[in-house]
Amino acid sequence: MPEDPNVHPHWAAETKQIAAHLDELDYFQVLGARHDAPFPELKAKYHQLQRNYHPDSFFTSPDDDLRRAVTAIAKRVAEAYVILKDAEKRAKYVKDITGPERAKKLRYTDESAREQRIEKEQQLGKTPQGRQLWLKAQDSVKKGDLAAAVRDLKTALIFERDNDLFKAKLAELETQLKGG
Amino acid sequence: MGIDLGTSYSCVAIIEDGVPTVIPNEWGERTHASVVSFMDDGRVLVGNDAKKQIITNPENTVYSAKRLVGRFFFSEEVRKARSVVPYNLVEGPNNSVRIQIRNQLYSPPEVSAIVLKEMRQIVENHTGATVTKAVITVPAYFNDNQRQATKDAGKIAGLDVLRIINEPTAAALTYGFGQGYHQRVALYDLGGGTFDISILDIGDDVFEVISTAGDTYLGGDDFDDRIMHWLADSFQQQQNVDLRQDKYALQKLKEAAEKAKIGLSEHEVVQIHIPLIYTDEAGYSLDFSTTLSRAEFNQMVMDLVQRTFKVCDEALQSARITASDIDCVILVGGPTRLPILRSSVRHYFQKQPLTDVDPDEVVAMGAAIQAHALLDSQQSTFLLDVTPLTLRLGTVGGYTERIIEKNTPIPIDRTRSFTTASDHQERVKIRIYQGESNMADDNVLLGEFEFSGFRVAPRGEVTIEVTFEIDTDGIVNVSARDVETGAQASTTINLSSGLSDYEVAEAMARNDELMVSNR
Repeated sequence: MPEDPNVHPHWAAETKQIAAHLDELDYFQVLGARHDAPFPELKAKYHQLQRNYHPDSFFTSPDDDLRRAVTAIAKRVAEAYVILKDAEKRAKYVKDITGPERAKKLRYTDESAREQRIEKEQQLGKTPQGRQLWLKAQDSVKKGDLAAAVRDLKTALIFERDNDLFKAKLAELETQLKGG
Repeated sequence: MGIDLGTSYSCVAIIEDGVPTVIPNEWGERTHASVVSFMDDGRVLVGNDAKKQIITNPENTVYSAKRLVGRFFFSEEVRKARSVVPYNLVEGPNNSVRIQIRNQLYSPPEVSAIVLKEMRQIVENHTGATVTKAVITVPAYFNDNQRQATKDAGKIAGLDVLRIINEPTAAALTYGFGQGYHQRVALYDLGGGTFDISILDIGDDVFEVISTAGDTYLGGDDFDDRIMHWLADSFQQQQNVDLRQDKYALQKLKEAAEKAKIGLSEHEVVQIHIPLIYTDEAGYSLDFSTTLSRAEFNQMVMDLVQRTFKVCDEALQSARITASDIDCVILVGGPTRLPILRSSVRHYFQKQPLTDVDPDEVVAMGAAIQAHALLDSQQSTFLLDVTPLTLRLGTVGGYTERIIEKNTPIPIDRTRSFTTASDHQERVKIRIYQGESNMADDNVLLGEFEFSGFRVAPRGEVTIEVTFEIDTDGIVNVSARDVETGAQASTTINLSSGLSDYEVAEAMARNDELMVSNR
């Protein structure tokens, strides 16, 4: 393989190494940022990495492997940026990679998107009645009327039998009622 | 070199002494009609001379080929073209479009290739050296089929196509070149046949496209059409004759309409005079004279202008910003010279738009900058563009699922797993679409891909991982592998609007034989 005279051989070797191990990195590691890095910092990192690895800069490189490596890195950097740019996806992703299934969830997949949608639906309720009753129950809790809140949640569960969030809240309130 | 291959006009630029420079032809013309005329004596005319043949040699003179490039024969655009263009359009293999000139069929990229070759000739005449490496621009909203077809056109013309880049992005490169902008810029690009809006964050050395939106059915031609129909209506009122029934007269009206439109950029009122437009039964020829004021014209095209702002709304929404967040607006494309457009853009963005660089030349200059940057590894700026349309996978019941969302930076890839559905299955077929609808039929079909060469086993045992990649040209590549063995599956593309390698080779041979004439 002919070497690229415009890049340092160490840098070329290192870049190929990074590309070979991309699948072991999470998006924050790819961008070199902390989990709580603010968006402007992510954007700056994204620009800096593209500055280093953008395939356009290696367009005439005689080293095919190096061109493949920078393209792979540039693509993953873009992917990381796109997912972390979206606040909802980012929250779900952080949960995924700090959870027990980290190894499987280093890339945000269709499965992640589906799970995120389900979580969101559960938070708000999937049905108009469920949503309304959920809000009403929260209102009752604020007013201190736990019995009313329990009634609302039980009714909500008629509309959404599988809503884990409703179930958890109901269990919590029932324990409180017994205790009180 | 950088080539702006436009619907109506094309332009070519190179970097000379570090400065992007538009190259004029021998007659000093800086933009060239994207028209090809096949003469009776076998000569082929290209550019502004060919344009004059639209009236005298209508069946054999091809204009607006870009509107047909990468389209299916039964698409809306091709149907519309068939009703207005005087040359003959026929159906080719795989629902493609062919242009029939006498006994010869040409694909739309083949005609575009003749224009590209002329651009190359202009540069070679100027530099005295062979030039083959080119960056060609396309509307940002072009889909994969249209980008592929443009690349094919370059190949047929014998060019080494370094890159396909988006017209508004190219324009941004020209403006950003050495000026040290540090802001959020909107590129409002109204060309002959298409409208694009792109929003970019420009830093010291980075051009990041945040969002792009467009309408590939809206351009300066539509403004001409409005005047043309207005002229036909006026003539009908005066003489009780509908000139629209006569393709020859219609071409004359169209020519007069374009001239009137350009005139209105400078004057409040224009005189329109078309000699000998109609010959009555008695053999008596009639001239047609009328006047058109700017106010009348503005009223005719107001809805077209409004349509561009609907597209702008979409782009701003995608970028999650409002018009007031834009630091500067750049106008691109000849029609943006119209006062009605300038004032509407100023009103929409609440900012005086920039027009420092000729809107007809700014795209070709940007393409030249990009060509230079690609070939010079010491380049100082880099471009982060996005895909304009959502990439989709066909599912059961005529629905689709999103794979890569619009406005995702490119290059990018995404992997999906498929398991075999029946015992001893040998092939997996998928259909890929681009567009914003969940319904397959409302999107553009890019192709049907078939994978084979993986293990043959009971159903559900074989998992195939399919990778969808959008490359730096915005072109979609699909590959697949057997997850367990890691073996690459072979991919065949059925059903695609593109030209086969054989067709490209054939077209290249024909292109080499053409007698392109210099007047």
